[in-house]
Amino acid sequence: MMQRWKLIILLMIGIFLVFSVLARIDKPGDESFVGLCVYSSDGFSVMTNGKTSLGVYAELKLGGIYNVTGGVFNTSSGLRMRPKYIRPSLPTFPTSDIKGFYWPSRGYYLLIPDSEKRTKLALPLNISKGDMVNVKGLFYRGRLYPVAYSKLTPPSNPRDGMPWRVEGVVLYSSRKPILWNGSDKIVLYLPYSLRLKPGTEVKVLGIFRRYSMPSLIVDSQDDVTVIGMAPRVPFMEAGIGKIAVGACMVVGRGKSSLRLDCTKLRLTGFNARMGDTIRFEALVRKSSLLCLNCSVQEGREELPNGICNFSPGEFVKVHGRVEWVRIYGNGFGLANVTKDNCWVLLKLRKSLGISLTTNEAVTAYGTFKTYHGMPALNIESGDDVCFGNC
Amino acid sequence: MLWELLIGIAGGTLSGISPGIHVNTLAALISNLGLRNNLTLFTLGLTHTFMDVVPSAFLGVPDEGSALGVLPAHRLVLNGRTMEVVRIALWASFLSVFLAVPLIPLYSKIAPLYRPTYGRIAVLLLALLLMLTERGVKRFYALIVFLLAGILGALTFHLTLSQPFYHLFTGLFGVPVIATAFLAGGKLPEVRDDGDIEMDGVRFLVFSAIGTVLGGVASLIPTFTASQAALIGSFFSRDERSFLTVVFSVNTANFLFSTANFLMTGRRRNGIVVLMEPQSGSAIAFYILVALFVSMVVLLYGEPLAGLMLSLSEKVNYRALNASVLTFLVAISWAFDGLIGLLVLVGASMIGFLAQELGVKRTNCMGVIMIPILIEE
Repeated sequence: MMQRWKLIILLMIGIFLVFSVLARIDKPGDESFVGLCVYSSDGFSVMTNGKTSLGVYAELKLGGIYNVTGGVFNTSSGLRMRPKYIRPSLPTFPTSDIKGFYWPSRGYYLLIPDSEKRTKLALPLNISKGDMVNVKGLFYRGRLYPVAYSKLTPPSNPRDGMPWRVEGVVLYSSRKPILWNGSDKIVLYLPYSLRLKPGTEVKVLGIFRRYSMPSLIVDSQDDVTVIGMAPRVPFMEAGIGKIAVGACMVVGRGKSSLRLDCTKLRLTGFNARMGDTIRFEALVRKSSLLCLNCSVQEGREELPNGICNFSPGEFVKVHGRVEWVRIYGNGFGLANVTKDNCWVLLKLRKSLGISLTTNEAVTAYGTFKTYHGMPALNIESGDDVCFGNC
Repeated sequence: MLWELLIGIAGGTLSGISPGIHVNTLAALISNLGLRNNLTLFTLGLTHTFMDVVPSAFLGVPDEGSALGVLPAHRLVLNGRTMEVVRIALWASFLSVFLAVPLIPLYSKIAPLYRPTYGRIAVLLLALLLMLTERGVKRFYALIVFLLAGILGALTFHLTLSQPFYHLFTGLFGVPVIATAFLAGGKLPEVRDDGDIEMDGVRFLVFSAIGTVLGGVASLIPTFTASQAALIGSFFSRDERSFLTVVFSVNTANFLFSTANFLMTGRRRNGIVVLMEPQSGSAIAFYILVALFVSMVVLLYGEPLAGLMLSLSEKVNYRALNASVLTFLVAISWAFDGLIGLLVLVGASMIGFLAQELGVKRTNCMGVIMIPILIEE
């Protein structure tokens, strides 16, 4: 028992001796270190000056440059310091100069012109996405920590693989919409689920690619700003990318388009009968008009009877009584329609599927032509002939 | 990817079975060799938590995570249950990986809420609990050991040592055990078990779950180490086996949750994640899969490897083995921090001996980190 207490007393003496020696040990001299904070969390930060990294037991602002003073010691995880003084500082260490386009997209990047390389930034910059910038900074674990940066004038022409801002009107809306910027068509590769309506005026930022057509790869919905609709102008003055406004008569019908009497461009996206006068607001494309807001202003029933006003090439309504009908062996037929002292031959192609009988009242819509020198009416569709007065 | 996994498993096994080689030291060494990548570091750290039972059970050499498991493990070893200790450690670690997986979603909600004040309050409560669990005059002895360890910790952390934890933990928990064994002479206890865990399966699962949850709590609070979590676990357990189950589950779960915390909040809660590159929080799914894979692999070879180590150690003189391990530990202490490191090791060893002689729980030595936490500015 005594032996045990002797040992305990000896141990206590030994412990106090160790304490007194430890308390008297001179701490290492203070050192100063100027560096950039590259990590900070819960009272611990990592600083670097490009050559040396130092763990500092203080919570510094990420990206800030500091001059810290304190005792430096080595650990298995690198140099450490418990700082006595922390002061903001200017960089005294060499920095890298990188010129590129700022591109925050799932991380922050600088896209380097004339190369496919991109530099990963550790922190965001207070500039707009796509701006050209010169960044001074330090590389740490493969990421550039910006120390200072200045905006540069963007190039006037787009470069392959680099950001480009474009403003224009959407001509075609599909999975890959086509934009008209006033001089060129640009294919947009939009993020999934983003759709743009034709006629919309937009500002788009994306990565420019010179595929078969100039293309812009957009990586975020935020990079597409809708300004409004394209300007409305009278159809005579409307160029590509404008919304043409006017009223014209339908003089021809295709499978999905209408031919109008006022323009060579065919109108798509609206259906009307031959002879109807329509009021339209339509987006002008290179070879067509896309109806955005169209309506029938005056039905063809309101047209005057043109049987007495033969003028080749003119679209008219003809109303009268069938004087005689002649059907040829190949199915083609002719019907003489008269009204008062005027007459005209209706050309009845077999494909129209119409059979007329003598003395029948008929109304037809078509274009005046001559048939062996005689006045005739060319009818495009069976729908353009009706019996009675219609 | 397989290459990185293999390096990590090999490194974690090496640091795990070697007395005195801390996993952080090896991780830093691997990083300096240019092999730094998150997968290797994660695998290395996880494997280490499975294998660190070997030196702590066979030789009584602890590291930070297994310090409290040394004595109970030793008691079983002395009864010839060495392989049972190994099996408890491996299965408790293995279970904690599986039990941690369903807790990750809840953990991701809690982790960002942490504030430093919570950590200090937890440590204070824990310190009080530590004293109150002793009986009679031993409460006073426990207070003395707690305070002496705390003073040593405060003095040591004030110095600029490279590996303060090594000297402190090896001294407090390792040296007294090995030195006592050396002085007592004798030989390595004969292994009389087949490795079967003499514990009900459900009970094992429950204590592993307690350890897993405590490991998660320890990873949330930076001042709250795996050892402290294990200390709380000791209040739930009444025998060596359940205690060891908690300790080894805490150790592995703490590492796993610390990695999750790092991925979710960027906070670095252990020496391994300090070396890791930040990654998106969604990467946690990948690391869970890696953890499941690694834990199964380690489970396959862990026990045979421990058996091999044991049979090798049986071939050498036990006293000589203890002497050489002691020498090795002292040499490492010298290599890390020279004379000052040795001085801390000596001081810590004396406090460890003191706890042993006063007959109080050695867990009171945890004052070494608790007091500095409570008094630090």
